[in-house]
Amino acid sequence: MKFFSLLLMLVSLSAFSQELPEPRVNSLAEQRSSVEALLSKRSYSLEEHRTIKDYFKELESLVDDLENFSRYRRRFFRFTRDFGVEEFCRSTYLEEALWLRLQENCTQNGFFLCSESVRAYPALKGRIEAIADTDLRPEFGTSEFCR
Amino acid sequence: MKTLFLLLILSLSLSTYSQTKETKEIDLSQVVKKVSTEDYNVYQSALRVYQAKESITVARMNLLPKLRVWNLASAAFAIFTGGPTGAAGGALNLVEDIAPFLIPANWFRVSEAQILYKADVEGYRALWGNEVLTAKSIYFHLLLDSSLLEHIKKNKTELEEIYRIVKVRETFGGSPQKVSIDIQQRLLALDEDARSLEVLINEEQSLLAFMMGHPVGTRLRAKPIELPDYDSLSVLDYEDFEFRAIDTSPEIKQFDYLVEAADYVRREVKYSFLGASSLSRGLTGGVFDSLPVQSGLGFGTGASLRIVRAQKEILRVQRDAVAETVRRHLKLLVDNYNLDVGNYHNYKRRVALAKNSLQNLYKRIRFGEEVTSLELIEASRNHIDADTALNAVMYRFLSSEDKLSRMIFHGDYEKHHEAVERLQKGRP
Repeated sequence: MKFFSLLLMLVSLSAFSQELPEPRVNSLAEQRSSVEALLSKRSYSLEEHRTIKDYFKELESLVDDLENFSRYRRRFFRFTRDFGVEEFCRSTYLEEALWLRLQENCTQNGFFLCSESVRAYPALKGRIEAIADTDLRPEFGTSEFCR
Repeated sequence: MKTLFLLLILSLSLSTYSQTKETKEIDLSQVVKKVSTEDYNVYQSALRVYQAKESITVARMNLLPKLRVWNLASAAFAIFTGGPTGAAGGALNLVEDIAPFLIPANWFRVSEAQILYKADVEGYRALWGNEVLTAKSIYFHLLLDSSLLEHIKKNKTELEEIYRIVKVRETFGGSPQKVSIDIQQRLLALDEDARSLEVLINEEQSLLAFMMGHPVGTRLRAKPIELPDYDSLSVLDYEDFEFRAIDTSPEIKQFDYLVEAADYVRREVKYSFLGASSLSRGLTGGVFDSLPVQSGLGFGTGASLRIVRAQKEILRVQRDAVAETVRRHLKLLVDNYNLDVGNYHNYKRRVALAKNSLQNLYKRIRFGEEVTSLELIEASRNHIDADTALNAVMYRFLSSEDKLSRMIFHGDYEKHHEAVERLQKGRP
């Protein structure tokens, strides 16, 4: 019986840690900073390409979770409301001008050389806006950092 | 009546003839589109993906109870008569039918089916990319060979003019008889080249028509394409392409999925004491079919687990080998691309020099200066060779560029999303 309770506790703890939005947002913010640090370069090494991919893939995985798990979505947007939509975008989103520069750096002789997820970025932002709570949606659409 | 019948047959065969000799004008975008939907290999692969997708439903639905009348009857018999396995044995035999979800192997098969479906989608993407690459390559060759044919015809006219000049000289004793014979031989060789090219063009048209799903005999006229601005191109660096080539390679991804599926096969073996699954893993899952997954806990379970582990390692090694092959191909492609970019200016300069030299000779002839016939023939040959080489390098460059695009799924190859989306929506 004790073993069963312990197991149940472990399972619920792991589920809880997975669903905490704050660490995820912090991690995304760190990854975004790493990508920003690479923007001054014109071409990237394998490792740098992976850093870029990791950021966009993490954002994509967040959007997938938001779309697929309603409980997580509710918790996440509650956190975003407290955190501030603009602040959320400022810390986790790559500014449009910087994203355009990244696209430029990723293109050589007309070939696109970075991860495919880089190009899906505007669509990802659109998906977040589309699933955001109704009261948050206008802010996602108008805020300087969210666009 | 007989006459009417004969007339009918005649008109039918005439209409068939006119159909088979139909000429269609095509462009490159039509080639990509048609190959995606009409090519036999692509369609077969699409159907395999469809089967893999349906296999997920089969695996999932097989977790629900099913009815097997004879199994039910024999179990009932065992329960009531205490048969060879006894009443409990009879009831347990029914678990597989009444509660298949109690057998963990069936759950693992669902996960395997989901992963193997993704592997099949990658397989489809690779095949689709290869077929589009082949079709586009044929299209480029068709254009190159057609332009060479035009070139040969033009050069033949040029050589005929030289022949006339030489003939006049021979008549007035200004040139030895041998020269006109040389030119005639050259003219005959050009005729042979032209005929060979016509046959080659027909073959290319036929193959392209086949890949685009057109009936036999359809003649295709390829619209010219806009050639890149070769002067603005710079050499490429292999390192810049390495990430993208590995990241987008469907061949590597397919192995990644198989390695992932191997974990579920291992779990199947581990929990085999609760029963084995009889569900098929499909075509791609065939790599796991020969692995010994025994029903029930026996002394062989440990060895079975080691075999599955070794199979996973084999898949990992195969994945690494594929990744190395991709790298090797990429290196070769980038080298060829750079070679053509570097040589392009040389070829262009050679054409200009050869043309200039030939025009100077003509000018000298017009002014009545002494020009030997051999000099004239040599200059004309140099011009033809330089022009042909430039043409060839321009199209070879297009081909190298397209192979690079296929490798990193760029340009036309980005349309694989549309092809895969069509698959995911349902039956292709």
